[in-house]
Amino acid sequence: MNKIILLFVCCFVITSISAQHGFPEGHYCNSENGWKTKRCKALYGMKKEDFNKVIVIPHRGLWGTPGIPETSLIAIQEAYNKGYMFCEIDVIMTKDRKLILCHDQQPNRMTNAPATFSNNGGVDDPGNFFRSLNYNTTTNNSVPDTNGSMYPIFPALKDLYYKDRQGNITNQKINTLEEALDFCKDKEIILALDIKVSKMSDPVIKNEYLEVMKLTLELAKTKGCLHQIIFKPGSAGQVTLPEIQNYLNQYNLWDTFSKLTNVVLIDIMGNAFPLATNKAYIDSWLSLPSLIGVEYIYKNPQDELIIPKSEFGNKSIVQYTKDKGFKTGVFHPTPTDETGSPGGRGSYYNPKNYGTLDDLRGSLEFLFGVPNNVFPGMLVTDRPDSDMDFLELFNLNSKYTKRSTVN
Amino acid sequence: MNKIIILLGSLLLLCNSIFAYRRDIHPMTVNPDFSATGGLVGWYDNILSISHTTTNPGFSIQVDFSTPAIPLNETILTFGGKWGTSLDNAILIKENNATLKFSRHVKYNDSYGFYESNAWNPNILKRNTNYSLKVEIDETRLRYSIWEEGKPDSISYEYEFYGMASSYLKDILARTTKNLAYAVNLHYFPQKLKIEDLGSGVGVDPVKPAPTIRWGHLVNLNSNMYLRRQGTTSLGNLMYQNTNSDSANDLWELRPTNDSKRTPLSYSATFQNLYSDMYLSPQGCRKGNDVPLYETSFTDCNDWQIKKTVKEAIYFNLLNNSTNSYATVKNKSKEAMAPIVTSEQITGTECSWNFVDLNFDAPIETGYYSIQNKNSSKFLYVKNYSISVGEYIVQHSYNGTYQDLWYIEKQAGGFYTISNMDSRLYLEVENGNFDNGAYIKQADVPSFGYRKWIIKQGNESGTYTIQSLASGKYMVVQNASTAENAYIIQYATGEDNKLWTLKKETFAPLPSTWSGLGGIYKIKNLYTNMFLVVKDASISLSEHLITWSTADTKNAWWSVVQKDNGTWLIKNLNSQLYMNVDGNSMEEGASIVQWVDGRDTGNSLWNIIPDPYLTSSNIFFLKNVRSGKYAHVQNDSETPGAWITQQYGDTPIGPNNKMRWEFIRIDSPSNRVLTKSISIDNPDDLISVPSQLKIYSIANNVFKISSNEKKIHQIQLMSVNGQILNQYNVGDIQYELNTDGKSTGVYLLYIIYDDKSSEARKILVK
Repeated sequence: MNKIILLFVCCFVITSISAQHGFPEGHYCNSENGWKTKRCKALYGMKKEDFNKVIVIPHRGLWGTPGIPETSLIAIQEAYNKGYMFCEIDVIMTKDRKLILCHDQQPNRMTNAPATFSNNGGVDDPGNFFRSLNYNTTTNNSVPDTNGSMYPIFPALKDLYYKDRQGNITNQKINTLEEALDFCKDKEIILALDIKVSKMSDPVIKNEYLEVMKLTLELAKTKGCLHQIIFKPGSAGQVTLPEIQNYLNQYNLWDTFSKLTNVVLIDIMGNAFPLATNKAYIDSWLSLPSLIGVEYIYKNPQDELIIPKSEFGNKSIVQYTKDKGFKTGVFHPTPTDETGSPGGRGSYYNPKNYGTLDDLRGSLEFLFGVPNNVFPGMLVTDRPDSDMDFLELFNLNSKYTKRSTVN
Repeated sequence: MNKIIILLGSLLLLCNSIFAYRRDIHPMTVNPDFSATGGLVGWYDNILSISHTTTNPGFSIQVDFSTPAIPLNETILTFGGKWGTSLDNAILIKENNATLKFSRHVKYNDSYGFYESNAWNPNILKRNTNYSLKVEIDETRLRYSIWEEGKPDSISYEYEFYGMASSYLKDILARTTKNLAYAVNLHYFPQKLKIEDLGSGVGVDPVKPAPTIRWGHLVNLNSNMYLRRQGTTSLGNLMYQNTNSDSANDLWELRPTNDSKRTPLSYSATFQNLYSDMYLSPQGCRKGNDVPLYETSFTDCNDWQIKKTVKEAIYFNLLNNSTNSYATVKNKSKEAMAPIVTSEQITGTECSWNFVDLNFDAPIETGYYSIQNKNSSKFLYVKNYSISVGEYIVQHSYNGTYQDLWYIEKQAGGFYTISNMDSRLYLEVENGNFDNGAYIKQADVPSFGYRKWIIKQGNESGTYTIQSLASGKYMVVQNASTAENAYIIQYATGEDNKLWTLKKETFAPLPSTWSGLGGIYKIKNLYTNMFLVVKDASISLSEHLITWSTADTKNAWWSVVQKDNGTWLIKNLNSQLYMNVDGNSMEEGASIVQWVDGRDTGNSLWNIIPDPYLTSSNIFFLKNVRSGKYAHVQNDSETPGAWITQQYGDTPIGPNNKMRWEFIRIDSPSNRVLTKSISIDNPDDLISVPSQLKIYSIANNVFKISSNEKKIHQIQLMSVNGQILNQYNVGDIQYELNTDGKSTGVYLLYIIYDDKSSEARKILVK
């Protein structure tokens, strides 16, 4: 009888812990040691905090000042040193299957690599660059030069240096995801990983995306920091849970993905995201145990993501997601260099991105002023310090943004 | 019909002039519409009619200002809507030590606040430097840009993806009808305020990267011949193919018109002939086959698509974007002088072209040179020292002035433009003539191939030949004359007569101890102890510069702008006019007056030469670029009101010279005296909180510093140049400062409060 009571008590305690912390069984933050850490408390805050408080997340690390390039280890370190609990970073796979930190598909905006060729001026290049270049060795005849001919030899990516926002070459060599995880491991910081590929509509490319997920899971598992990363599926194009499950099942990594790590879904309107407003698609993600939030990238007051829809009970998709118990987030972009470039895929000049009446993401007043309870609880931003000042004016900062206020 | 077109054109111009609004204000001179403490003065304007419901025109506001020796950390520029008799700030730009701080009035729900953020580009501001600061805003974008006066390349951008449509700014500007209000801070010596509308729609365009311009020949794949204009001096020529012409008739400037920094597989470009400066185009913009290609100044049909079918190929098809036809050689001819025409289809390799880049050796670097003929040993200069367009170029004996100097500037492709340092005009072959004997003259702009030059190493060391890019002929002295004022012409041959010695001129560098000539100065003649002022504080052209015993008004305040050749403009703060030799005179004793800067011709340019005999680093001689003579006080008069004239003298930079001028920087707000009183119209609408700081002497050289309420963190005692001499940690609202041991003179106190704000005051130690 005592044993039965003891068993009930144990079950109750375990259930309480799970219920209290909301982390799946086996997740590090669902352990006693895990719960003592600020990073688990911050993850918990992202899941359960008052939705009217905003967690600020440095986008591409904390960067922009001279000598601190975007999407680099030093930008992560800068975010950590300034006390940020979360840090978003981009990952790209090279031809020799190395995971490196870089945002663009072409190397020459962000690094001192030679300029590469683009079919239509760089606005929508095919993205055959990093995936055609080796990290460890030089690559022969793999990427076109500015005249459309192939570079006979392209330098090994490991020998390239990042450029800063002012376009100056820094002393920071291209970093790998492994270096980033080595730095973050056991520190009070969470890395949100945005896997970059070119066109997810291409099955070969999508397979490469899934391969990066697999490699990342294996790497984080080896390092013991699965709980310190957040996957951000959906940013590079639509990917469904069954696609991920089918791929990861081959390597027995589905449970690892669905329970032991963290996921923030990215949802955005556009040709590459045909399922953005599909209820079954949204519901499938909202039922994923490792999901801790959804970033809805709405661009203007007419955006389908923030307009009430009948299939979502006459609520907007954002509101629907909140009602399901998840914080939602937004992205606040700032020009990536002094020319006003929006960045991305090596584009130098694309006036159609941001800063138009169709795309008001650059305005904090717009992002936080949308009616119908669309108010976001996460803010991924290139200017986190500055944006925190904005939020402070209206008492909107979350205590989970900075290490010093997490308790 | 023509009259109707002219009438319509006039109406269009009129409309443009109505809508293209621009207002310039000299804040130090013009009475403000309103004012406030903290040195702010402001104006109202009625250029804007901002609506919530439409896409509004963008506008820009620019202020030229100076940073003081120590940071004031005050508002430099602010603008917003008219509010009573003052200003409802929408945007403020402040100094925050070396960094700019942007502040925006924002609204969230029913709450309002000032959202402050430091510029993303930190540590932009240097001390004692003249800057231009510009804010451009439209519906969806905002850009701050700042650059040092006279140094456009120093520009730094701060760019945001938001504008009126997405900010509270629109509410503020739409609240009142047609009332934009803006204010600048007199503590930053705002010399000019410029307000300009940017037109409808999205006016703040991202900064486009400069296109990669190429210079070279268009070579046909089938005939291996060059696409060229007919080769006459008249314009509007048809196009033919020929072998290399050895002139600019077959040289083209390929200028990409797409927006990418990279060269994509297919991209658009214009082709401008280097001889005629006209564009390659199908004649009359006609569609169809066999339309001749010709040169035109119209831009309707000059955009060509460079199409490659194979990435690796160097040849491409040339598709006209307007007529949708390809450039080809008529009848697939391989003969010289075969016409170039259009074809609606690609018929073969006669439709394929290669662009072969020019690449001259370019043996000398850009800079100022004297140009001496080897045969005559005389120097190139402009006849009669003229600064007029079309004047002949002649030779003469070296006269020691800057008029013998030429700015030789290397261009892409390795050729040069050559302009006179005094006249600032460019060497050209008269009328673009190809013939031997055509005269060399000076022209206003460096366009056309006959205003571009190829410089090659001569047979003898240190000598060079100078050839017209258009004609390929050499610059020589007419008839190989050695006479004074012999004309310079072009000719196909010449032994020593075509050789020129190019000697590079360097200008005296400023002393390393001198932190730069930015900021605002009083300029004092050391011998007479009098200050340089404009007579009667006039703002009229040609008014004399004279001496005066005091320099308390802005009529005695000057700023300097360095030009790319190391010389300077010297500008009066009151009149905004420049120190200039009257009538471009070369004569001894000619008056120095004020004048517009014009094209920076030599008579308004000065070489500021450090005094090698005195240890002080702020004492100079002022040497006029055109005359080569020095500014001095007429008759060395010690009486106020004496004219300033130019003089050479036997020993102009000798130790006893009376032409020394001391530049005394005006550093702190407390010694800036305004000539008009400023009233506070509405104290409740003050833009900044007035200072509570009091400083008074309580004993010999003991000062009491009291801040009333704010706790002082630290006080720094500085020299007037901003050098920290002592610093005192305070931690109280008051402090007694003992200056015993300090030399008699003026010092600066820089007070830093606990809340990180700061302010500066001046004290006199006796």
